[in-house]
Amino acid sequence: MLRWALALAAALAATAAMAQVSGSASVVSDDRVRGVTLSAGRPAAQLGLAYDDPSGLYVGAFGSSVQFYEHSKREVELTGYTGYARRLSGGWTVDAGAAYTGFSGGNGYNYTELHAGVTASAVTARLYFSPNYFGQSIHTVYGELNGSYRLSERFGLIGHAGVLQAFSGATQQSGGTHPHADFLAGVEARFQPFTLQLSRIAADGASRVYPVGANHPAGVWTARLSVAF
Amino acid sequence: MIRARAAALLIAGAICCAQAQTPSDSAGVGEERRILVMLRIAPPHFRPEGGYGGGYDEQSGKAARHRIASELASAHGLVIESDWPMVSLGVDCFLMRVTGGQSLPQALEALGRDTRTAWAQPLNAFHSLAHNDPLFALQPAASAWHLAEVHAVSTGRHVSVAQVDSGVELNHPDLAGQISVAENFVDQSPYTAEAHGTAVAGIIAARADNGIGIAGVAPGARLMALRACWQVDATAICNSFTLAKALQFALVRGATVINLSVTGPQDKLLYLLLDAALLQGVTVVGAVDPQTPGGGFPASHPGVIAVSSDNADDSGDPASAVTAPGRDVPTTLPAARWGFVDGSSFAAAHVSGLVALLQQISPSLGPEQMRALLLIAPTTDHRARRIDACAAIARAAQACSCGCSAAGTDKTVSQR
Repeated sequence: MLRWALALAAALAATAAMAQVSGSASVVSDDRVRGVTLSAGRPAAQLGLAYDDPSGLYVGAFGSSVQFYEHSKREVELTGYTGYARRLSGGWTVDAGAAYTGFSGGNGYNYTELHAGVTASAVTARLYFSPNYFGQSIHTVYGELNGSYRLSERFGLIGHAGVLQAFSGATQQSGGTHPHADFLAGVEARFQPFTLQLSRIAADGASRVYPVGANHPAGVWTARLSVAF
Repeated sequence: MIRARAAALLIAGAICCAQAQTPSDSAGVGEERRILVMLRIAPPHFRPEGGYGGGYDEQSGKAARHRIASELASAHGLVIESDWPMVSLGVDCFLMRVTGGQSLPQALEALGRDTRTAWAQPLNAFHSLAHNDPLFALQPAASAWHLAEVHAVSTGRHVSVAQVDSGVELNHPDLAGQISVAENFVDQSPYTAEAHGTAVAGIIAARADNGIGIAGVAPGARLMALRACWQVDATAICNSFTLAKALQFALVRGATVINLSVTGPQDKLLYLLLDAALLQGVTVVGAVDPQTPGGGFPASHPGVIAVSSDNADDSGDPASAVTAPGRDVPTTLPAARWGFVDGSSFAAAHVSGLVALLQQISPSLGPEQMRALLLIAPTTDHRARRIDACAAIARAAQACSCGCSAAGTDKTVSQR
């Protein structure tokens, strides 16, 4: 194990000069994750940082303010992730990795998720597997398609469709084994270094799989303002 | 006949003189003090921020690269003028100006040692390959390709041909409706019609059977009129950066044929973009510079179909170069005119049109198969290197063309 760690450190040190650190800070009117609000329908602040190594390895961290219920305390969500991405010939890119998400409230919602995806031009398809989604004793697979289309240098359209499928451990209360879908369609405007997104999000009963986010409308308009750095 | 020749002379004179423009601000001035600096674009990957698709990957990476570029500029005495992501190569290309007393080689050497850069290179100058001698225009045009018969088999219908050149007159009566997209990669000014680009466009895809002017080699093709060059007198001038932006655009927009009627020195950025194009199955056609040993770049790229004019001295041509009509070629010109042109620029345009015809017949043909169709017997003998369009069409269609006169060959070409 130590040998592997040393080898990795040596590889990073050798190539770190071409590495890139990037990030973004955002405010969002409603923090929707796969169609479900993690902010009780209220605004949330978010920060993301990523380190991209020339070898293709990437490591990142993401934090967001969350509020699970109308009258509950605000908490902090922290996600750490790592993976490997590689460009293939013909404009394709593949990536695979893992993420761990924890919440400051100690409510047992922490979970691990593995991901693998492929990107071609402005379309990304990605699959996720979690053995304990939101701390529940269920296995889930989530598949999503994300796409964007530039109308001009400044304006573009964004779209997303995702399906969450629960497997072993799923109960009627948690939505059984029915797949749950979520969709997003929106417009994006870029004013370097800012990006503004206005989106309509719709979900098909996805909230039943989640221990949070109940009693909020499945369809909602959201706005997101981000600054990249 | 005399009256016709006198008219041709007048028109040819107009070709030489009418389109002279001052070089574009962003593309032409201070070329010798400018360089290209490449920074790696990290591949897109999972990011939790944003939650959904959109530009987070792209925007965050862009901001990071601009930060690194600013640090490089500050450390090496450079000024950033522009940038363009070459996503096909995974690099962001920054155009920078060298300031102070340092020489360009010194700046490049210092950047080459700086591990934040993928590579740095000079901003090379390229130019078109058209004769500007109006007397050449008095020669009768050749019609060796039996176009009318070939068009009975294929017109290049719906094949997307990217013409990386100077500006095309989009509303020319013989070109109107033939151009799917027109973009200016030279500067921020409106798209401009220029002589070289308009002439090349007419040879590739002028409308047929409209009762006026000429018929392009591939009148059914759709042209991407990508302005990467600007006209200085009778010559179109370009540089590494403007050409690279246009090539990247053509790749992203799915061109199947790219015509490069320009020449210049070997260029790493352009070379890698051509590699990427060939890997995508795009056929690239380049004009041979008869003045440069090896034919000049990009014709010297091993994957590019190099074309010289069938009347030219071929002593310096690449061994695999083919010849096509390049002398006294009637074609479209700005201000809704027609005239005669000379040079390997226009020979290359013929071959791009022919490639479009072959692509319509057999869309799965890749660059290597296309080259095999065109190169019957590559030798240094001019006649053997001359393309037999009827034979190529017949082989691709595996049927008669031109009254079966050329379809008798049993040579077949494997498809991808």
